[in-house]
Amino acid sequence: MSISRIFSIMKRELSLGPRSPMLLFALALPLILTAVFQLIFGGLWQEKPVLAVYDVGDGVVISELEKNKAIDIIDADSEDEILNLVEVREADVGVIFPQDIEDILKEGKEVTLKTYVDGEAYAKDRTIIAATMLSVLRSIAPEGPEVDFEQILLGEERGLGILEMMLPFLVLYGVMGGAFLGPAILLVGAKEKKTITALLVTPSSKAEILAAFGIMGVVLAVIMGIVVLLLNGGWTQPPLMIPLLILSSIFMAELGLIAGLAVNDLNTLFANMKIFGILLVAPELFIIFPKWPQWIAKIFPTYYFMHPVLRISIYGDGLAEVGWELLVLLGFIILFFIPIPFLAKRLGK
Amino acid sequence: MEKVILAEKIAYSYNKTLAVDHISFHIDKGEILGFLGPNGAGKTTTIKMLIGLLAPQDGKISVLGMDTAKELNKIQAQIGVCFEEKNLYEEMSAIENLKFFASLFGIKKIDAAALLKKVNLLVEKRQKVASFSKGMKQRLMMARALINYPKVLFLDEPTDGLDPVSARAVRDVILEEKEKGATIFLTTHDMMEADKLSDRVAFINEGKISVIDTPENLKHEYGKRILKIRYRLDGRVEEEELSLEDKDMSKRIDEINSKHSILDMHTEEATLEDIFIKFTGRKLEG
Repeated sequence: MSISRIFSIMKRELSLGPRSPMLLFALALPLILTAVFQLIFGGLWQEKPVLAVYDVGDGVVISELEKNKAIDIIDADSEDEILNLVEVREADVGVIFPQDIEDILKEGKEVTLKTYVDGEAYAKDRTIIAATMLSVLRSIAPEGPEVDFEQILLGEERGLGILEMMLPFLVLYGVMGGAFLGPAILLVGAKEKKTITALLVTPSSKAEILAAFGIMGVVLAVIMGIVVLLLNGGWTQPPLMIPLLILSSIFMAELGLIAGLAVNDLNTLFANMKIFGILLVAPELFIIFPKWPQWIAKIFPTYYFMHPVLRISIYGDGLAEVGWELLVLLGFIILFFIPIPFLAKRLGK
Repeated sequence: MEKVILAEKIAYSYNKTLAVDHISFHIDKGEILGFLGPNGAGKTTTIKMLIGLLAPQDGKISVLGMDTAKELNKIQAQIGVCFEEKNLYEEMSAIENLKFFASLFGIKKIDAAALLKKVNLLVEKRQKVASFSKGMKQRLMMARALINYPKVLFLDEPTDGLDPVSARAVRDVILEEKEKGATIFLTTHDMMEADKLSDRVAFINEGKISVIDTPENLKHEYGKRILKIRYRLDGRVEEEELSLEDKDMSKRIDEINSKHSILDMHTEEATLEDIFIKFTGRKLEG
């Protein structure tokens, strides 16, 4: 397999291929849907997360926090005020910094931070606040601050809002646009225009051609996934989210290649997508209707992408919680790779 | 003589229709083999097997001494293919097309302008292929087939539907490549073209090769060589055909000459199409 040939084909397709109106539409759709949902249900111009802070000491940490533009700070005068600000939901999180925190951190000792968390606060807001606090504390103790958060939840944990429920669907759509439709449309287009036969009589192997289309789809899909997550405020835990996006993009690219190899014209491709597309987005229904038997959702391969997106973005779950779902997704990737070499034999006939 | 292409009892069927029926042939180094047959005779299926787009369902093919089933990529690095269907990237310019395909052959630097000049294709640098005429596209296809300096050229109906100027440009390139030592497999249903270009021709009909030989041998062996004489008889113009093999031909000419006034006389050879019809009962075109 020649990397340079794969790169040549990818370069050509990336520079000219995505001009296909259908592909452009597919890539634009999740962005349009995001804008529509955000406009209807709010969130696009949502204010920054608010952190109420009471520093028992000299206020060094507060002044550092105020330099940060990711969150808004309310400087409280007592723990009671903090409690009140979080209860009336003027602040998402309240934190009390003990006296001499700077010295404790610099000495490398562990410090416990008492935090009040509004149960209705968005998980992403909580994550941003936690990340910002850690960043500021790290600037005080560069070797790595020893911090333990003592978390007190105020009020009920909020249910999922419409925007949060739709997040996995929007991300799936973004990934589908790049990884499924990208390779499928390019492959079927190349068959329709017979350019695939021109490629097949060069030293490029079928594997190289399919790899180029597939990798291109994966790259587009990961970018789309990140953009959709960013626009919807779901971009949290990049070290976990990026592997999830890559795995789901590979899975979708395999489906795209299978579809592109199986059909010979774009009309048939879109007709089949209308029929089988519901199977891809079906897990979303189980997110919208949580009382439906959730085991049914687990039958669909895309569940192992949509569910982790929801858990990581909204609930702040980590690898321990969603790791097994990533492994199942990997299993599906292996399973769906099997038919590709057989279908590829038909290419060029 | 080195057999550059060797097909042994190759066969291919689409569903239950046998498109190519266990045919065998070879092409020597530097030779042009014209593969003649009407549409649907099996020409394109044969060429697809030779270039590796289809795997023969029976039989064996070797190109440049390599088995197409085992060393296809090595073979494809040394061949050039000009398809009947125009399969260029229309949204790219001629030069972009050539550079892209050159990159697939691992050729980093190509003189695209010289290649285009070679096929007599003079276009604007940025002009998209979509705006090209059929003849211009065909010449670009020919240039693309030459991008890797191929040892073997496969040309599927390279002048089909072209204007005389484009057709001539393509024919000139074919002959030039032959001069350089390239081996050429040419499918066509244009018997005049085959006659002009081919060292040998093979007639294919309904998936089978009827005969394979040089055009001269075929005409000599299977053609009817005649002498046509036109003379005046009682104010009318009469025409008479005499076989050149007839022992009494000279006597008959003397007889006509003594009694009548001869207007003109000329020999007439059979065309490849006549011979094709004789073998297959079908016309070459359509």
